[in-house]
Amino acid sequence: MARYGLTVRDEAGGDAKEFVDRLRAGEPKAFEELVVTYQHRVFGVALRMLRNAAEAEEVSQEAFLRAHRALADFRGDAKLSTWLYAIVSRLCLTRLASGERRMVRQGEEILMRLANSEGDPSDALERGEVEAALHRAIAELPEDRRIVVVLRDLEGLSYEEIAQALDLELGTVRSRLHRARMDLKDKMERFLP
Amino acid sequence: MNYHETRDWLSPYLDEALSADERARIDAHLQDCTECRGELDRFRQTLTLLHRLDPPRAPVGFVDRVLAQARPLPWYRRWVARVFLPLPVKLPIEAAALVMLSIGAVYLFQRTPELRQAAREETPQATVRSETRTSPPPASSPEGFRARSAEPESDKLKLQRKVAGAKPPLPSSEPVKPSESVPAPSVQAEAKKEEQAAGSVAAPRSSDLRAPAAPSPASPPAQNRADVSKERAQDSASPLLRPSGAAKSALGTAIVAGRLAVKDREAAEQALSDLLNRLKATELSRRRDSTGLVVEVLVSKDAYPELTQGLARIGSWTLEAEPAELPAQVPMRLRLLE
Repeated sequence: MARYGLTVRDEAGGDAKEFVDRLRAGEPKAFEELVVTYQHRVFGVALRMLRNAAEAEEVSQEAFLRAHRALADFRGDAKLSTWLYAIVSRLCLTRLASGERRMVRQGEEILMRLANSEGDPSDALERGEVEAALHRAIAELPEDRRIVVVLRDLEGLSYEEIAQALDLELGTVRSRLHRARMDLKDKMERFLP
Repeated sequence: MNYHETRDWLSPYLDEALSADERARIDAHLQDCTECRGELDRFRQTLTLLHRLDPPRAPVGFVDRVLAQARPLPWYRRWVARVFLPLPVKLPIEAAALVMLSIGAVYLFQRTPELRQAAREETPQATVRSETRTSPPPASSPEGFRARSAEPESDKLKLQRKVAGAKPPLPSSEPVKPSESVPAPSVQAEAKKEEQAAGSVAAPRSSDLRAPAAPSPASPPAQNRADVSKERAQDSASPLLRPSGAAKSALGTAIVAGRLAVKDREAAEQALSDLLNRLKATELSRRRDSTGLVVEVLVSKDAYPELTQGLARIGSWTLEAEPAELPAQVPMRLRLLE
């Protein structure tokens, strides 16, 4: 959470009740605080999953709007962050599974080729070879494993929170994460000391 | 715990997501297995690389865009959006519906006599006034003469009935406005025609057949009433000028009607055409009916006497109707009989 340099309300193990109450009451200022607080994390998940900034913004906006519409029904069983991750994760997986993604996938391939151009000095300067390889390795993961890696290793959710957000069994989360890390380790082997 | 089992648990082991018992068993295996320790190191280094990735940041203005979409629109904008948006879809549909509705309304109105009747009955006074003021372009003009001649008989009769019902004849002593006391000439003529058809014995007044002079704004109502009374007196004093019933029915809106009996019709037609040309009279129509050839002409008041003399030369000219005073342009209906 501290990665984004933001004050996260649920960091201490639970959302402030007062804040949740304001959200559920439909207070505009509270919703604005919610968007400001979680914008980068929600957008980050969408971008890691979709690999397209415009599409990631579209999905992130939709995630917040859905949250806005459903805030009155938010019971507080999960943390606000987990709830938001669940919304954006499902939106991403749905979009990835839909036919609308065909054109974007072509764009992804172009991005991957760019990341693959090891001899390109500008690319190496800008992003770094290791980082480019890591992005490519993540992008090549199957979607069901990629979302688990993103939520666990990039967003820092616990196994239980991932299971709750993706509506999976804990064992399924554990095995998918293990296989995803194995794939990443194999692909990043040459960069490891 | 063997080599393969341990490798399956390395990931949760790194995440400290194992129970104390599971963790102790893996620790025990790792102490004895260098390969698994190496694998664990590679896992740890891979995770270190992952954690080094910079987190993406939402684009500038993201919050504003989300809040703008989440903010409820004012009621009028919601209404406009519901009615008109998306424009490319809804606007053509709405325009087409409006056009079809208009066409349907006009069609229904034209095809339903009751509706037209109701529309007229709502404003009978206005109908009569507008008829008096605007319509008949004076009968002395060709347009007015033609237009009234072409008017369907049934509509005229309906109009007559309404006018008669809405505005009964007023006593001459009652002061009324000219436009109210004197209905449109064509209307009066038609009303008389209806009376004739009903067997009325009352003789028609030639003033009814008089050319409708355009109402002069300068002439006061009293003057107008005096003219009407004068004409009525003249009419009653000259019964010879009253058109017969048959003549009236054939007369329509012409103010002068006559019968021209000839022996050679073709020669008479040619002679009539020559005469009209010579007098610069306008031939408005020429048609044949069961009784003979009917010619409608418009002749100037000055040329009128010469025309009647010329007609008398062509054949046996019998005057059936003629008003006391002739307008500047005299409409005539000639019936050529063989």
